[in-house]
Amino acid sequence: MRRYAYALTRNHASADDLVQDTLERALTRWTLRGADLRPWLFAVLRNLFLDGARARQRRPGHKPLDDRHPGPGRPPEQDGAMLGRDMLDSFAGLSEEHRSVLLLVAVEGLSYAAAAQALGVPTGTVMSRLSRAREQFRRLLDGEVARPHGGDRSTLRRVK
Amino acid sequence: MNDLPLPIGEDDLTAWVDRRLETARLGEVQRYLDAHPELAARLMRQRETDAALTEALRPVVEAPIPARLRVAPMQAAARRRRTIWLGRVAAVALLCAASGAAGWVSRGSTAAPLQSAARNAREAFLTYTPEIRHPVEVRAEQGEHLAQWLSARLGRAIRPPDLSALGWRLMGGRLLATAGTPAALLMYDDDRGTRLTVYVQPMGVDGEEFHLLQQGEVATVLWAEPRLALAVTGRAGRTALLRVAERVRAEMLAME
Repeated sequence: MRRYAYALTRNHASADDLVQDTLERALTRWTLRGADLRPWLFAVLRNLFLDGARARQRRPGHKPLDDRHPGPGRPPEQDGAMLGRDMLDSFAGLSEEHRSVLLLVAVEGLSYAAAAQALGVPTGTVMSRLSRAREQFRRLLDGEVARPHGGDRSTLRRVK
Repeated sequence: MNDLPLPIGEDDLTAWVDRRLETARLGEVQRYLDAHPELAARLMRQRETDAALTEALRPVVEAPIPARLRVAPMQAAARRRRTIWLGRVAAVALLCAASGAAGWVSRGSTAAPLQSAARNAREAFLTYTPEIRHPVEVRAEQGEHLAQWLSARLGRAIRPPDLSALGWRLMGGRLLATAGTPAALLMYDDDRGTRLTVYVQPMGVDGEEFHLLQQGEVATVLWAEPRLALAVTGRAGRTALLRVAERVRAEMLAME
């Protein structure tokens, strides 16, 4: 959860706030839930993040969430950390939908069905969104598209 | 079914990148990729970027978990809040029993706005629960609309609590005029047609208030949340009402 929250916010304090809110909410609703909590926890976290993002949008002039220095817990002079930061900078160029689907499936290892549950979309949508997200991410990293402009238009060529 | 293999689709390719193809299908997709090296190279690169992303986020996972994110203290705090409240409920229940339970029994300072909220809740119950044809303005079938409408009029998020675990079904709700902010009245019934109401009114009160108003068979359990007065009214008996109140409160806390 902390990984997902950090990848969304790029800010350690905000990420921990998100996780704390998620856990507190989860604890008060604990009894309402069945066995598999993970998709639900991710869904709660994501909704809190989106609510927060919307609230920030309504208050322009608010400092955007971003603390690239220091990077995620490592001294910046290390090559690995530099590469990682570059990676995360490119990743930040993706839309939230693309970031979330990539994080949930590729990083957190959720099944397609569980990711669908967390994101509130059909499984088929998860798969096609994932395919577009990966292609877009690859293009950003390989410099095929300009970085901050993370549009949704790149699609994997459909293979019939 | 069909002996011909299904054409390779986007979902096959996605599952290939995730190494989640079933063995039978894997062979077919692999053959396809062997015949399309450019696509294969792109998918291979996607696998690499997935791994690199996971690696870039590794420091977050490895960083020590701050104390405030530990679940045990949070659980303890949640339990404490619950126990304090239950203690107060028990105290009021005892007081009722001891006093013969007539009129207004309180824990906490007796605030006039809360007394009038309790009276409103009781009057609304007496007025609307006998209605056969129009007990509610918006029926439970239009749940989403009901929640949105009441939230808009009360100026804060209101979602009708789910009391089905206690045997009470939501019938619907209506808006009530009061001397201050409008209030919401939610009506529930059980299998025998017994009805009870949940009254919600935004007002400037803190927690730590708990009251019981009983006249005849009809009892109102009223308490204050931050900036909100809530009341449960019915003929169901005080114990049942207190259980409903506890449930309503748990759901309201979860909503905040």
